[in-house]
Amino acid sequence: MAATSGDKGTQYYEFYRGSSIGTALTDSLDELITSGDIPPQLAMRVLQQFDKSLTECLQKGVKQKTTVRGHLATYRLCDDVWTFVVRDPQFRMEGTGSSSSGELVTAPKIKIVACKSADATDGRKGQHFNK
Amino acid sequence: MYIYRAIIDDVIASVAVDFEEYGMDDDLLPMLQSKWESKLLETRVAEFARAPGAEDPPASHQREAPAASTSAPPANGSLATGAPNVLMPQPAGTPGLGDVQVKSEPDDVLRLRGGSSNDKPSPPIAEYSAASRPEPNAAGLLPGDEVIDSDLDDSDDELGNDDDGEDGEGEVDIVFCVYDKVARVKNKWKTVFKDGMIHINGKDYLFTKCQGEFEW
Repeated sequence: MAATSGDKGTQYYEFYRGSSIGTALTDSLDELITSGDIPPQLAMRVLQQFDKSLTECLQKGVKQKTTVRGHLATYRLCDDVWTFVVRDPQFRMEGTGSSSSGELVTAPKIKIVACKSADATDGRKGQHFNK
Repeated sequence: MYIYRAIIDDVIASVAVDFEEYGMDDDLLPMLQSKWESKLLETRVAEFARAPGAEDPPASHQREAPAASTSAPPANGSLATGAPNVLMPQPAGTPGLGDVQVKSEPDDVLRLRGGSSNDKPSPPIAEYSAASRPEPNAAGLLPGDEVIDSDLDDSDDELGNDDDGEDGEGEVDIVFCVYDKVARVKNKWKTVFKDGMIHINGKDYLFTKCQGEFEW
């Protein structure tokens, strides 16, 4: 997955741009570009900053832990990006919202897109690559 | 969700210097922030509305007024108070807002614009935008707007997904995260995900760690 190179050589993934907050930002930037208010290069710069800010905020600001179970419908590892499609996923959201112990969230299907974390210890070298 | 607040604030603060370097008008950065926040609010993915004080009261007020006609004016009001700039220059703005709104039928939580849930089919988008903002060809611009976004956006941004109620839709529900570990023994998979954003049933959940157990 494409990554933005940040300052100090740190790399930040771009794929979070597909999230709700990322989409809201890209839509906004699109509008400003379309209306001629800002140049595309500046929009790119904003998105790169978004990659960085989001990654840092996720890493530092989020404490919630969750578990998920379900039936793995498909899996794919390509360029260090895992993609899973899970049927009937059951997420146990610990300590979210107003719920006491953990909210159970289910859906018929969910797609999980996972880029390799900086300190992924295994799963790399293809030893888990399934034919 | 205060994390979203933090992300927006951090991005806006960090790119201020860039806007300056590009010689942008002073009001452009606040305008970007306003647009961003309004769009995010309208997705109702999280209780983000609580953060910006100005927009909270209208949101809760909104819930009591389900009728589309009733809700449009207050929504405008909230935007106006929270972000005056948004209303002014936005050629593509209206359709964009329309999009977000349609896709966000889901929950009753935080119904910033109670009317949206009633306006399920696409025609009402035009109606709505026309009502709330003077936008000549809102309906015409809609498809174009979609095209521009493309990519990952499709998953949770498609117009086709209005009827949130049914979860049958392809990839509305998605998780963005990184993995620490992915292991398989026979058909049992165990994963450790980190730094994730779950978008499920029209809501967002964030996690620092998520352990997955799947059967293939």
